[in-house]
Amino acid sequence: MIKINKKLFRYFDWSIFFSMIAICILGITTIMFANNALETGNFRNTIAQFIILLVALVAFVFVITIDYTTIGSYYKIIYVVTNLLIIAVLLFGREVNGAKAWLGIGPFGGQPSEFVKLSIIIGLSKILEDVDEVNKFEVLKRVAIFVLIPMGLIQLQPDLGTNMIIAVIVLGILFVAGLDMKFIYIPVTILAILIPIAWNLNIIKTYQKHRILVFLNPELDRLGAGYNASMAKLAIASGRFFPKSSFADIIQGNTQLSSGKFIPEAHTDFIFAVFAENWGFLGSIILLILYLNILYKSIKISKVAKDKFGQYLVIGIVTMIGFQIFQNIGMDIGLMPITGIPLPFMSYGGTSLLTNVIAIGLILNVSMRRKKINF
Amino acid sequence: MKKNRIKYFTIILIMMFLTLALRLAFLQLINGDYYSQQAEAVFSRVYSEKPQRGEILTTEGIKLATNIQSFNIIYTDNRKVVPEKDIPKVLLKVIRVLKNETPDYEKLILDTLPIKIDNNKVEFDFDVYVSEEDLNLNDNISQEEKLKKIEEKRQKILKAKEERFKKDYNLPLDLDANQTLYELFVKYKIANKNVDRYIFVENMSLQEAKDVLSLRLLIEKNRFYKYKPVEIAKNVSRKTAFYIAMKSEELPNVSFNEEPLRYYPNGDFASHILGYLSRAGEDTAEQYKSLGYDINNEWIGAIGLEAKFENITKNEYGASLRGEPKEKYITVDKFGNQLKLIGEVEGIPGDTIVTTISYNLQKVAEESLERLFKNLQEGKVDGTRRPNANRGAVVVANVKTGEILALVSKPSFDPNLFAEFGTIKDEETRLRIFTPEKFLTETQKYYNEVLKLDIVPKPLYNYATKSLVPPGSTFKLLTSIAALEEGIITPNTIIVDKGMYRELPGFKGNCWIWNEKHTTHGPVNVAKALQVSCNYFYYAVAQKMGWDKFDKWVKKYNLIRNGNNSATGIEIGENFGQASSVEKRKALFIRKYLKNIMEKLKIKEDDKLLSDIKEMFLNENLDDTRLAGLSENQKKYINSAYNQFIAEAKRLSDLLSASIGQGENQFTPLQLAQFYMTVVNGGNRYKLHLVKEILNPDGSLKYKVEPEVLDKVEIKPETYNAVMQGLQKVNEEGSAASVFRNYPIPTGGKTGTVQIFNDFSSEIAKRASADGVVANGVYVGVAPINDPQIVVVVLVYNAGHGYSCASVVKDIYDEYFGLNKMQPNSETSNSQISTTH
Repeated sequence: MIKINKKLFRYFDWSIFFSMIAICILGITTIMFANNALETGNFRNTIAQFIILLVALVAFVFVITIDYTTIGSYYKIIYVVTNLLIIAVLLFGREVNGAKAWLGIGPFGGQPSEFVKLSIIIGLSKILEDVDEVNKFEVLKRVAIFVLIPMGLIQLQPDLGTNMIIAVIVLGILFVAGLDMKFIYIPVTILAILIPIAWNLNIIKTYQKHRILVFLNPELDRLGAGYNASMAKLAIASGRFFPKSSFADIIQGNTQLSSGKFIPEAHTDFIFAVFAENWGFLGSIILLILYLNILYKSIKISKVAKDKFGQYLVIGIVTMIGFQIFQNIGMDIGLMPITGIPLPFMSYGGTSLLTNVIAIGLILNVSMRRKKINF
Repeated sequence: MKKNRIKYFTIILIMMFLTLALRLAFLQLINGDYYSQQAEAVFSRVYSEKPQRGEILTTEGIKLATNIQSFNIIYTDNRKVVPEKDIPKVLLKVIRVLKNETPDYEKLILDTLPIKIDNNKVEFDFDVYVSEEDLNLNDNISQEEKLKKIEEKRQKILKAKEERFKKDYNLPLDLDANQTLYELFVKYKIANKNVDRYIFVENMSLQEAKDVLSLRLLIEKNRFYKYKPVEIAKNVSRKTAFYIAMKSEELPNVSFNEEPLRYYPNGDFASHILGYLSRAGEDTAEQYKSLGYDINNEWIGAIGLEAKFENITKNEYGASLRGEPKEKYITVDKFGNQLKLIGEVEGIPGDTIVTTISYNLQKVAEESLERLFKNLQEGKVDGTRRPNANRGAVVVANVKTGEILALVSKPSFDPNLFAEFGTIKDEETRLRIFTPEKFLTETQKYYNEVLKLDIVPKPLYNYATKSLVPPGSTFKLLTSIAALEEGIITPNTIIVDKGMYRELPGFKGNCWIWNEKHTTHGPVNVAKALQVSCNYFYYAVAQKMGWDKFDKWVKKYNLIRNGNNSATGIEIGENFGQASSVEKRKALFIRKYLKNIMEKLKIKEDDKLLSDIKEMFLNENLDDTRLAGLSENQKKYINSAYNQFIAEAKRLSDLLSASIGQGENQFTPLQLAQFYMTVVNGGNRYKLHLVKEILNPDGSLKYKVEPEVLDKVEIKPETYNAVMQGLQKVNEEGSAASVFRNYPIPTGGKTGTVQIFNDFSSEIAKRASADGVVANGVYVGVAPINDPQIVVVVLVYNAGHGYSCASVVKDIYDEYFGLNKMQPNSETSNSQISTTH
């Protein structure tokens, strides 16, 4: 066992840690309500999520004990292993909701594409660490090859949502690394041209097209694809300022819309709708503040990181978590299209929770080792 | 690396969170009320209970259709009590209870699975009944083509139904019936698949498994409406209901409810007037759902008054037999489970329909007609057996109001058969009613299938309002009136019957008396011509009159379609038979000519030129300039075709046949009744109606139907007197005299004998005659003839002669005028009658 130098905890940001724990616990209770567990006695998901949280915390401890630079030095191995996992998914995986993303034996398993995000953040940060000028063709070519291989594999699943996050992560890191703005403007222009083409050439799957169309007007199709979006919006809206229902009501699963009774997958993708209906605007804002606390403090950490690797690592993770929050909540309230992107720390799902807790572990790792440490 | 970039990064992040917060504030704080209301609406459901259907009464208030209280076994799909995998076990228990403990097995609703097992052979089993009306066939299409089209349509529907069934349950479309059955067993956890063997989850027979599956599919259909209990057995005995209630421990989710059930106390009495209740068809299901029907449990009026007054959208009186269901407003979860009751609205029973039908008259008419069938079949009427005299109709109507006092169509059906399940459950009975052609004798099949003659007695067919038959000699009334009114003849014009009519080249008609007895009627005037039914007289009159004047008078009496006119205006479904006329004949012949032109000119059916030619031919306006582009030869051909076409349409010899009621004349008994009513009441064409009044559920009057004159057809008093005298003489000295001579009330009428074969002497006609495929008989009666009150029409298919029908009319007069007590033994009236025609 590696001994932890107690001095390291001088820079362990407890507010980030406790914010994370608080959100995780809110998540577990919300899963319980979403499954209407108190009424049906079905605590399966609730308990599973709790156990995964414990496992994730063990992993968290493991992650913070190893210097992140050591982890970084293994980036090639991590990269190869995660890519192999995706290939394994493509070969042996199980299809869930139109995408082959689940790998596992019996009840144990996960979605390797979640780990890919972290693997790319680590690898990319490592690649860019030694680069002074990012706006060079050689550098960008290397970045592109590094990123496009896993993205291509993920597209085969297909999992457009994860690729969207990866794209944003890469953009986030490159942006901080000083990417010339023209490299941002030009791809945006190209995308504007390519999207209609992709639409017509069936590169985008039918269910994705449908989701996008319905995103533009969910009320059109309340009982079809727009059902989720429109139910989520209704649920959130009827939360009002203070939680509409009394605490006893919530406990008994008597809230009108959520409690898993109307919104399918309420405990995964649409968990925010359940939360917002139960806790109202007040609760939603508190949740957002908890998230913002994690992200804002993390950005501060990136500024005091001991090296560029650490800095990019933190920015990559902040981008990942921040964008997922925006995308997931945005989808519930009609700002973003419907994708299968989970809400960090809240949504039911082991791999997602594990990845995000480890990611926070890495940020705190950077924070703890901000100065040269004398043994 | 640029320092500023982290600052921008932070700003972007904070802006994203601000956007979320603002949008949340907008939704939850500003628009919260709006969305909360929407939320309530989205998750509330209406659960309705069947209303008490309105009654249908005779004019005296005797119940023809009413309701009785019935018990149903219901299944409430609460998956917390019985999880999905255990549903088949509970259902199996229910089936066994109904089979072994309480004999109510046949009350189970087992027809949801369209698969039957016959001698271990598994086959699809869909009910498809295609009637002529469904196809909207042209009036002038041969019987053979009709049957072919019907069969084609039937096969198409069968295939579509099979495909739809498989799609509904997500099965591959290429499965055969056996594979479908076992796939469904596995899908609904009735059997497990073990390598290539299927093992039932409990020890049960294949039949039991199939029954379980049928019930399971019922529950499956209801899966989005779990708050609604599913009826799995209908109209069980009280004993069964209480037995189920007692066994609630063993039969979780199973209970019983009480519900009104449609009941027709008199069985098949007046069945075609009443109609029956049926499940909503696939094509109408959505429409009824949108009207708030629970189409899995609520049956809909199929024909007759049940259909016409089903709900307020179906009739102009705003009447609804259905009423309004009791509605419970509840909130449900996404599985359809009831969460809480918001409120209840009491139901409203349906309106009561009081008909114009007189119970006694209807009863006499039905019994007398059936007795006549029996006597004809046994040869008691004229000594010859008429084995196919099994179809017919009676219409009795009030000439001064248009009220229908009796309306009979035989064979009939018992609407109670449909009441429980919305269809007939017993297969044998169902086939007999829906596919009577399968139950013909071998001899009859020859005429139906080889000669394509209409010989099938169809129980669901209303022969009184729908059957189109040539009117025969009864039509001579119209020719008489037209000739008198147009000045072709006066009441005193005498024409000498010479037996064979040879005044028109190419026409070879004889008077019937020449054919039968080689004698003639001698000099006759119009009244005498009606009395003796002299064909010769009418041939001569028709030749003089020509098509134009004849057409004018059939149009006046609404015997040919004129705009959007209905035939008689009756509330229930009827056909509009068309008199022979130039217009009808043109429509009939045009296809033949167009076909030849298409071949000659080598043009396609959708060619503009062809539609031009059609229009010109029909409008009798051939315009050479519209034929530009054609060669001289082609133009010549079209010109000659045109001339032939017009000549054929206006062929005078055909008018001569039409004038005695043969040819292309075809009417329903109801149309015939209306025509006679209009003549004898002095020219008022009353709208025929079956409904006297509509009562609200509390008994108060909702709508009273007043007599309505649709047209007025004025004729001269001399004309009126002449034809009335003729009609009276028919009964006193003519073809119906054997029945009506010395009848205490002066009556009039006209018989009609409608030959099936044009050429009596042909081999086929002789063979048909021996097999009882003989002329249809019609009789129209008017009483009293000096002050007409009622008109009676009787039609009997394959009766041999029109006068046979008069006995039914006499029974009806006896009842109407209260004379039946004087002549208790009406059997005698059907016995041997010597005078013919």
